Amino acid sequence: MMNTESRIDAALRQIAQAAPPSGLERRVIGRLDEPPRGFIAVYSISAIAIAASLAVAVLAFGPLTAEIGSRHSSAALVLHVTSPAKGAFGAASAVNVPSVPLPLAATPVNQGRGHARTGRAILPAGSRARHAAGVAVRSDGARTVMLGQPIRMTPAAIPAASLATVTHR
Amino acid sequence: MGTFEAQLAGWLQPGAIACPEEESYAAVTDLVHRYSTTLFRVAYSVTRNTGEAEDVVQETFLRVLRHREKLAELRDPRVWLVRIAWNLVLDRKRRSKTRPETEDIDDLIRVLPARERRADEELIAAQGHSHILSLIDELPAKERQVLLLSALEELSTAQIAVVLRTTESTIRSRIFRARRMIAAKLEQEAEK
Repeated sequence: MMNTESRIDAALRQIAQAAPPSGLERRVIGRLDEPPRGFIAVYSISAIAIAASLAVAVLAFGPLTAEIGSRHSSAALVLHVTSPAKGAFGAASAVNVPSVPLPLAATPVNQGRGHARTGRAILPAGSRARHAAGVAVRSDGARTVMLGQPIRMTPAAIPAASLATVTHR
Repeated sequence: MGTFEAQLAGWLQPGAIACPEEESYAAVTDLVHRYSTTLFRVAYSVTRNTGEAEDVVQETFLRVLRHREKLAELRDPRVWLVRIAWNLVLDRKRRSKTRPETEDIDDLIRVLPARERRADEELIAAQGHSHILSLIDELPAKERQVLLLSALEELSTAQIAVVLRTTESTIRSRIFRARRMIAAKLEQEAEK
């Protein structure tokens, strides 16, 4: 039976004489020859960031390009609708729209300090100027300016073709 | 643990000239050949795990390589390297908060120096060592560290004192105290 001191010595000797795994020096030198791990990490993080941004771009712009494409196709459809046959589609039909643009006569309210050089009325700037609240189009094609009174038109009263025309003009 | 520059302080020879890149790389590889086994034993005494001990050795030399231009100025590379490895392994242990794997008998048998012994004798010896090592792990940190470093034949008492930044007499008294504590525990177990 070993005494206490020799047992302690034997245990300590076992640590002190621990044999390193074979090829330790070769692996250490191989590790020294490798590029620093931080260097590799920076490159891999950059690559991941670029890939992620590309994926985000595809996700973001993919639906947008599809929407633009659908807009083009719907605009083409509207163009077909804006040229209705004579006598159709109520107030906004080609029958009721004059072929020549009619100059809009300036009302006393619209006459401000400026002068109409191009034939158009110039609305005065400022908070005291009164503006037309809206323009209503009657079924006979004549236009009436109603001052200070909002115009109420139900969507049912406006033909679909005229709405489409106004939207894409 | 401090920075690497702080560890270099006091180890450099005044007025020494830094060596060129190729020479310093060759100096590092020379240090690997000369001291990797010693550093492995230093690390293994704390980790008791060959894989972790090897990691510590690699990390030590990576740090040396980063500051290789100062190698020519070193006075005592062995003690300096042991000190770096020692700080690294203590830092690892502190972060992992795990006890050394003294229960891994297979690993203990594997690192035992080759001797003319039968397998069953090896196993019994490894179990006995494992028990003593578990008692060492229960010692206070200062006594434990001194005892583990004193086991290394490559280091003198004066060198251990330099590694642990204390005096030789303190090292001797700690070794004595540590051995007495372990012996007392073993005798208590024998009485039961």
